[in-house]
Amino acid sequence: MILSFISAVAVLSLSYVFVDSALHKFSAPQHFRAALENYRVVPEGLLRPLGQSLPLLEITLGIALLIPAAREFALPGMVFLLSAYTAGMLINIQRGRVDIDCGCNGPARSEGISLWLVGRNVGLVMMAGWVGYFSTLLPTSLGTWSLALASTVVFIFFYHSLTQLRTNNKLQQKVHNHV
Amino acid sequence: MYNILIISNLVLWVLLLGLSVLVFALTRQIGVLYERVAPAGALMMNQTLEVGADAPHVPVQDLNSGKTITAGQPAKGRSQLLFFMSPDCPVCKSLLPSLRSAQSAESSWMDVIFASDGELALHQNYIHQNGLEDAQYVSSKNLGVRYGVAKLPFAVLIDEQGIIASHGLVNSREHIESLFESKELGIPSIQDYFNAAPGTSNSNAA
Repeated sequence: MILSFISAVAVLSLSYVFVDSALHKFSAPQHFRAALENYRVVPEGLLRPLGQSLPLLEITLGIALLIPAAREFALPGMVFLLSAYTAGMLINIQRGRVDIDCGCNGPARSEGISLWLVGRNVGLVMMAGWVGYFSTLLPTSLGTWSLALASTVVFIFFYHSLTQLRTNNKLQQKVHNHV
Repeated sequence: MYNILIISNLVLWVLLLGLSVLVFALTRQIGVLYERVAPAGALMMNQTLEVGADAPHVPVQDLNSGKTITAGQPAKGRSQLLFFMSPDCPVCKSLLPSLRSAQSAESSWMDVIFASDGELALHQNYIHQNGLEDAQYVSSKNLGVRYGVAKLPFAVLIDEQGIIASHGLVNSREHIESLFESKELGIPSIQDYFNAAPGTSNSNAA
C-alpha cells in the first residue's frame, strides 16, 4: 500500500515538474534560448533546434508519464534530460559561472545555478528511478490515487515555495549589495 | 471511534493543503516586498539618447554668468548633469531643493546645468524667486531638441568622457540619485540591476 502510494505521488509530481518547466519555456522562448546559450556547453548551431525542441520534449515526457503504456519510454527520457541538465550545471559550477540563469523557471523567477539545483535534479532522478523500479506497484484504487493527488498538491506548493525562497534570497542579496 | 479518526484525517488534510498554500503565498509576498523596497529609478523613455553614446555638444549661454558653456562637454575630470525643467512645471520646482542638495553633495565630481527654454524675463524671475543665481542656468530650445526631451522634468548624466551615463524622467530625489547609482554601477538603469535575470539584461528605466 505505502509503496504504491509513494509511486503514485512520484508519478504525479514528476509529471507536474516536467509540464510546468515546459510551460515556462514556452512562455519565454527567448529567455530559455539565452539561458541555454549561457551554459556554453551547446554548439551554436544546435541552440535554435534545442531551444525549440526541449520544451516540446519536456511536455511530451510529462504527459507520457501519466499514460501506463508510454511510461517505460518516458522514464529513461526524463532521466536522460535531468542528467544532461545536471551535467551542464556541474560543468559551469566547476568553471565558477554560478551567476548564469538555470533556465528552469522563466524570467519572472530566474534562478542562478547552484548545488541546490543539482541536488534537486538528483532527487528527481531518484524519483524517476523509484517509479521505474516499482512501476508494477502503482495503485489501482481510486482512494489511493486521490490521496496521492492531494499529497502531490502539497508537494507542488512546497516545491514552488522553495523555488520562491531561492529567488527571494537572490533579491535580498541584490538589495543588500545595493544598500 | 473509527468515524472520529476519518474526520480527524480529513480535517488534517484540509489544514495541510491550506498551510501549503499559505506558505507559498507568504514566500511570494516576501519576494514582492523585496521588489518594492528596491530603489526606484528614473523612467527611461527617451528615443534619442542612448546610454554609452557620446553626448551631443550644444553651446549655450549661462543666464547667470553670461558665459558660453557647452552642454554635453563636461569640464576635464568632471561629470555634468543636465536638468531639463520649466518655470511652469510644479514638479520641476519641487525637485529644486533636492537638486541643489545633490549639487552640493556631489560637487567634487559633478556640475549641474539647469536647462529650459522660453521667454528670458520669465527665467530671470524664476532664477530670482528660487535662489538659483549661483547655478548654471541656460535657456535653449535647441538643447532640448538635440537631447530629444519630450517630458519634464528630465535629467541626463554625462560622465567624465562626455558619454551619456544615464538619463530619464525624474519625479523625485530617489530618481535623481538613481542616475548617480547607474553611473556608479556601470549599468544603464537601477531597474536593469534588479530586473535582469542572471546573464541577461533589459533597459526600461534609469
